Parts: sequence; structure tokens; C-alpha cells
Amino acid sequence: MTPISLEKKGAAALCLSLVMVACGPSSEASRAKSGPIVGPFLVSEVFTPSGFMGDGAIPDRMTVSINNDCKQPRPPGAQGDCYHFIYRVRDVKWAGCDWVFPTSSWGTVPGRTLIGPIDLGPNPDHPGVELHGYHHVRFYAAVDMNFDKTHPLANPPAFDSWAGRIDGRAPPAGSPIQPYYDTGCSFFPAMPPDMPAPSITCTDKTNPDPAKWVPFAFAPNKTTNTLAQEWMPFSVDLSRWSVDQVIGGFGWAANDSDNPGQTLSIYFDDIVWE
Amino acid sequence: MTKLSFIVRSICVTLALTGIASAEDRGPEMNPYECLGRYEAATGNRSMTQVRAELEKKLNPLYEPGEPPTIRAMKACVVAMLESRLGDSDAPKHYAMAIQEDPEEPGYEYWFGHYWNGFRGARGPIVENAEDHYYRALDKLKAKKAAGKYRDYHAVVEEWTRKQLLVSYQEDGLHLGGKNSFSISAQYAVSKDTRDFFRNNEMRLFTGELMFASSAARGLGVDKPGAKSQVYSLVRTPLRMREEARLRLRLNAVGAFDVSAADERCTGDCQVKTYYLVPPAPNGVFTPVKLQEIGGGYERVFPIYPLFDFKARANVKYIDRKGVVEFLPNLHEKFLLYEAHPSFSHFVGPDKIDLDLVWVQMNVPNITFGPPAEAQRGKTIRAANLEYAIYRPFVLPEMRNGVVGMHRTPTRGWYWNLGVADDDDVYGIKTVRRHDYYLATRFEGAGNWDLSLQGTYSDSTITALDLNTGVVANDTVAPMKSASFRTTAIIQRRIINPDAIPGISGKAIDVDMINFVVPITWDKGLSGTPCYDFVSTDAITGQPHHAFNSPYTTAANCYKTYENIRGGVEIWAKFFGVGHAGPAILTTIGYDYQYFYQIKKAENSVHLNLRMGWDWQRL
Repeated sequence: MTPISLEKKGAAALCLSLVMVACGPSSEASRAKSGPIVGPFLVSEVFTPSGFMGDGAIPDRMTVSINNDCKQPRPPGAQGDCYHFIYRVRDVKWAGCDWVFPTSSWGTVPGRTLIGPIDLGPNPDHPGVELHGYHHVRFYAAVDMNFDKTHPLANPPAFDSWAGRIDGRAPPAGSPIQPYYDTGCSFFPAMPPDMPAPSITCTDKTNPDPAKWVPFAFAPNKTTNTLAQEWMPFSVDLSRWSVDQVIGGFGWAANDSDNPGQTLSIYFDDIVWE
Repeated sequence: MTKLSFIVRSICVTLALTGIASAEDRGPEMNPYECLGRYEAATGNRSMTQVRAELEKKLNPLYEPGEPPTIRAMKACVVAMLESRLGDSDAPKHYAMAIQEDPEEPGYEYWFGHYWNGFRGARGPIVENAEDHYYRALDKLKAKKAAGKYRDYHAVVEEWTRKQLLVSYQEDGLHLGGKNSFSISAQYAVSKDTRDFFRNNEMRLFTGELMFASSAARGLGVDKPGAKSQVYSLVRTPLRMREEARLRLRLNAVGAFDVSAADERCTGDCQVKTYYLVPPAPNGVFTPVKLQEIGGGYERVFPIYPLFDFKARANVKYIDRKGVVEFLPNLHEKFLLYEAHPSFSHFVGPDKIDLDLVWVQMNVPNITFGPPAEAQRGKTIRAANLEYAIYRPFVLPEMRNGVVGMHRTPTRGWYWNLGVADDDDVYGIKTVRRHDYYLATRFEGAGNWDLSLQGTYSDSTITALDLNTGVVANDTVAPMKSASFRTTAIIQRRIINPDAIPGISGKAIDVDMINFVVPITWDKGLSGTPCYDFVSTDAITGQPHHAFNSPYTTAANCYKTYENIRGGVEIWAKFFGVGHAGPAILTTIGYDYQYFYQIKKAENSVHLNLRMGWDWQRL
């Protein structure tokens, strides 16, 4: 066998070194699958609980643990991340959190494009474009009534939950205006004989100037429910909407009216759009 | 150089004449320093072309008929030294011929060892080859003593050989034996400085933090009460400490293998816990950072002439890091770090060209919750430095005998560096990219003054994947794009020049080098995306309120916020430890005053480094 010459070894060392130094991080495009999300999905795989509100917007008043310190056992068949919020009530008297995309966005950039499993027919304002929607966002939630051992909660607290509803154009007082918001089409079902066909609103035509007509805001109604010590299934109804782009994947809020001044320990799990 | 020449010439004049005809007709006993004397006579005040002509004359013919071996050895040695100076790859052949002709003379072994130690190598001497010759020189010196042939000049050879062995092993630390033995290295560093131990650009760091804190991804503006103090507080000098220990096994046939451990702490105003709340905002705090590492490594310089000398150096480290993840100051990140530092060196006539490459990969663990698209973490550092060192003498103005004239003057080298560094942090589908491009020159003067000048263009940007469209572009949530230019000037006065001390005294502490250094830097912001500024109406006063609320810089010019000028004094010193067996100890102590003139803030920085053994990349 012919030994490899020093020159060849040296050339190999140089080539190998140059190739190695050329190796940077993987391209961003290879790190995640891009394109619309099609069909049902787990909220925790798209949205992050980073939109804190009320007392929650002020540090140390509300904390969230993800996949840590969750309520055990988890609901049957639970998927995705589980969440544990601890809300120490202060002067604002209410707090909440939005799961948003991308993290911390209140409309700085567009939301995530979704194609739901339900075919809702053509877009009346854009022929050829099909509308798709979801049935609901389902999730489990619970409260630890005995979080404060010395002062257990007197009443199971009520809470609101929702999906969408983020509109950067109309921020809370003192917050900056942002260009983007959740978009979708509102469906009003057919009610013969007054409305023989469903009414579909995909464009916000409130501005008299047609040039300033914009996509309709995706803002399904909030639902109000009461938490319990054990896991309870809940859902947010999306059946009257098609959905296009969403910044807010899920949200909840609670106040202290049921248990004035008391700390709330609230769990969420298995949050799914389907 | 002058002092060295004087020593050498004195030795040559007084001792070269002591040649005694050997009994075996091997010729007169020659003082090996005559080789250096003849070399200096052939190169003094000569251009490289003239030196080349001298070499050609000496090579044609190399030997005269009937010359005894000791004369032939001397001639071969002079030719080898001239070839060393001219960068010829035949030099080792002629050193070997000198040894072959006069195999009993330890001085030729010393010169050959010095060739591997002083001329050849890539970012480090070829220790394996050098130590072979140094130990043979010591063996031959012992034989000379035993045979009663140990001359006065052999004492000088012995002292120089021992000194060069110390120099060969100085990066290893305390060398515990001869060839094939262990070394122990220990390093301690402490600083209270705006710069970290890796001398990352602090203006870019502070600017990035400010832009992030005031971006849509965080507080939408530095608008908390005391906004001036928030902008101020990002400029900080945390207390950093690092201890590092290394055990090195140097095997002559294979190279050096390392096992190392390090502990590093950063306390005080070190890491911003959350950029929603930059201190001194209510509930905003700085948190400490702690890092521990253990690792293993390998290095060796391979002579692959006529191609080049090649230094292979690689490390693998296990890191346990706590405190750098936003919101989670107690989170430990445990991961492996891989680094490789290949270097290549080649003579270009009497000059030398070096190419240094760096590749570092930190496998920072991914986030275990949240959207998979945001989970990936990692860091990659890549760098390349090309150095051209001009070693040929220059015709420079010089005062001799009270008259200023132009004289051909040997220097310690005029170095030109061109480099690029790329530091990429992966945060899910985003990459924070930092680049540095620099051009530098360092003139190590004929006298005791050295001067360095460097210009560095630094930039930072974030690229992100748009998950909806699949397009990769600059991030719009937190653009954080900025560019700055750093001008660096370093003036250095060599108070004790190691080149002028070829031997060693054997004292308990032997000072080998003391440099007085004045480093000056100026950071200038060039461009950048504006910080977020939301203008609202104050509910009480009715006046407009800017979210970016700094009295000194505007949101549009926030990339200029941390412009600064910095100047200081440093002492670099090198000592050799106890006697001839002692290690080299490198000490750096410095003070810097830094003024951030846009925000009118001054910082005083101090740093101290004690090193017994080191890595040149970290100096």
C-alpha cells in the first residue's frame, strides 16, 4: 500500500479546516415547517402564553409554569403542554393571559395562517378562495381551591375564555397601535324565511372609502364558565367563523369578585383547535 | 538585539580561538557560537537580496576538499542559519549536516532546537522537534563533562538550552519532567470591566440589549420611571472571576493531551433578568451568571513543509451554565462545546504568512416546552485571521553617533492582519448574527516601542423564518440591526525585552518580560434600526410622552447611545519561577477609563490575570 504523502495530508488538513469553518448554523428554513397550519392542532405547538393582562402585566403578580408543577394526573389523553398560573391579586383586581403568535406579539406582525377542517364554501369577496373554519377550541381547566392552606377559596371562581380577538389597531389605553389583527369571516346562519341564505362577512366595510376596506376581524364571543377543583372540559365556540390569520390562539381572564384579594391557582391543559 | 549581539560577539571573540585540534583529526574544536557570529556578519546591515547572495556564495561550494568535519559542521550551521532567516525549507537539512559532521558538539543541537522553537511552527513552536534537540544537547553536555571536554562556552550553551526548554513548555505550565511527561497549568482572572473575558464588543452588547428592551418583543420602549437610569444602567461593570486548571500530557511522538476544568462567576449587575424590566425599573433586577466546565483537548504542530506548518488544536468541553436564560435565572443549561483552532504557517522568503481558523459549536439544549418552532437553541462561532509578518529589515531613520541617518534596521516584525469573525446564536427560527471585520497592523520596532492600530467594523442583525410564507428575512418584531466601528491603538514600551535575555539566571523569580501598555479604543455607531418609540398623551399633563424616554439620545439614533472612548494602562509581565525547573508565569494588570459620551456616563474598569500556562488564543 502506498503511504499518503505529507503534501496530501497537509492539503487534506487545510481543506478539512476550511470546510469546518464554513459550517454555520442550520438555515432558519430548515428548523421548522412553514406554510399554513392545516386541520386540528395543539395550541401549545403554535402559540405561547406571553400576552399577560391586568395585574398579570405587572411583574411578579402572575406567574406561569409550563410543563412544571402541573395538576396531576393530567386529563385523559391530554396532549401538548400543561400550564399552571398563580395569580396574586393586587390593585387591578383582574388578570389574564393570551397565547399569542409570535411570542409577545400584540399585532406587530401578522398572525399564523390557519386552514380549518371545515369547508365553508367560497369567499364572497374573493371568488375562488375557499373558506375554512373550526368547530371550537376545547381545553381542560381546574382551580386549586386549597392553594392557600390557611384560607381556602370560598367560591369556585368564574373565568372568561376566548380565541382570537387580538386587534393591534385598537390597543388598550396607553399601548401603542399595531398594524395587524386576527382575521376571519363571520357567518350568520340561514334563517328562513327572513334570511334564506347564510350571511357571510369577510370584509370590514365601515370606512366609506372602498380603498380602505380591510379584512374582517376574527372575534368570536367570549365564554364564561366556573372552575372546579377537578379537571373540567370547556370549549370556545368557533362554529360561526371561518378563520384566516390568528395572533391570539387562546386566552383567559379572571377577577377576584368571587374570592376578594385571594390568590388564584389555575391549571390549563390539552388546549386544542378542532 | 544589540545586547544579544554584544554577548554573542564577546563569546565568539574570546572563545572561538580556543579551538584545539582533536586527537582523531576531526579538526579543531569549534565554538558553536562562531556559527551565530558568522551569521550575524553575513546579515548585519544587509538587505535580504544581499543575504541571499551571501548564502549562494557559501553554498557554492559548501565544503572545500580536505576540510575536517568540525569546519564542515560550522559551515553547514552558518548556511542553515542563513536559510532560516530567508525562510528556505533546506535549513533543517543543513542543521542536520552540522550535527552529523560534529556529533559531539551540543551547540549544534541547540541551534537546531532553536530553529524549531523560534522560526518554525504555526501559532506555537514545534515543541516535539525542538525538545528532541534540546535534550540531546543536554546529553551531549553531560558527555562533554564526563570526558573533560566541557569548555566555558558550554556553560552558555547549557544555560540557553535550559531557557529555551522553559520557553518551549511555557504554554504548558509547570512541566513536571523531561520528554513525555505531565504539565500543570493554572489560571486566574478577575475583572470589574465593561468587557467580558473574551473581549466581546461591549458597545454592540449594550446596544443590542437596549434595542431588545425597547422592541415590540419586550417593553415597547424604555419608558419605565427613571428611564434615564435604565439607559444608564445597561452600561455596567460586573465583577467576573474565572479559575482554570489544566493537566497536560505531552507525548513526543503524538502531541499534547489536555484535561481541564474551569469555574467562572459573574456577579453584581451581570445579566438582565427580563428585558421587560431593565433595572432600575420596579421589580427589575440583574442576576448572576455561573459557569463550570470540564473538558479534554489535543494539540500539536505538524511540520508539513514544503506546504506549511500546521497546528491541530481541538477541545471538547462539558458546560454547566446558569443564569443566562431570560426569566429563568436559576435554570441550568448543560451541554457540550466543541472547538477547533487549526492554524497554518508558511514562509514567504524571510516573511511569514499565518492563517488561523476558529470553529466553535455550543450545543445549547433546546427549550422543552412551547412551540417547536421556538425551541431550538445553539451557538456557532467561526473566525478566520490572515497574518502577514514582515521580518525583513527596513531602512529607518536612526540616530547613530549623534547623527540621524537612514539605516537598515532589523525589527521584531511588522505584522498585518485581516480577519473576519461570525458569531451566530440560534433562537428557534431566529438567528442573531454578529460579524466583525478587521484590518490591523502592528509594528514591533527596532527599539523598545511597539505600535498597533486596528479598525474593526462590527454589525449585528436578526434573521427569521416567516412561518406563514417560508421566507427568511430580517426580523420585524425585534430588528436589532446595528453597525459600529471600533478604532484601537495600542502603544507598548518593552521595559524588559525577553529577546535580549537568551539565558536564565536561575534565581527564584526571574523576570523575563515587562511591557508597559497603553490601549485606546473609540467606538462609533454607524447605523441601526430605530428603537421603538410610541408617543402617547400623558393623562395628567396632556403632554406627549415618548416610550423611548432618554434625554440624551433619540429612538432614531439609539444605535449611537453607547458610543464611547476608552483609554488605560496595563502592565504585562512574564516571570520564570523557581530556578531552571520553574514555569513561566504571565501577569497582566490593567486599569481603563471609559466615557460613554452620549449618555455622559463614565466607567472605571480594572482587570488582573495570573497565568501559569496558557492558550495563546486567550491572551
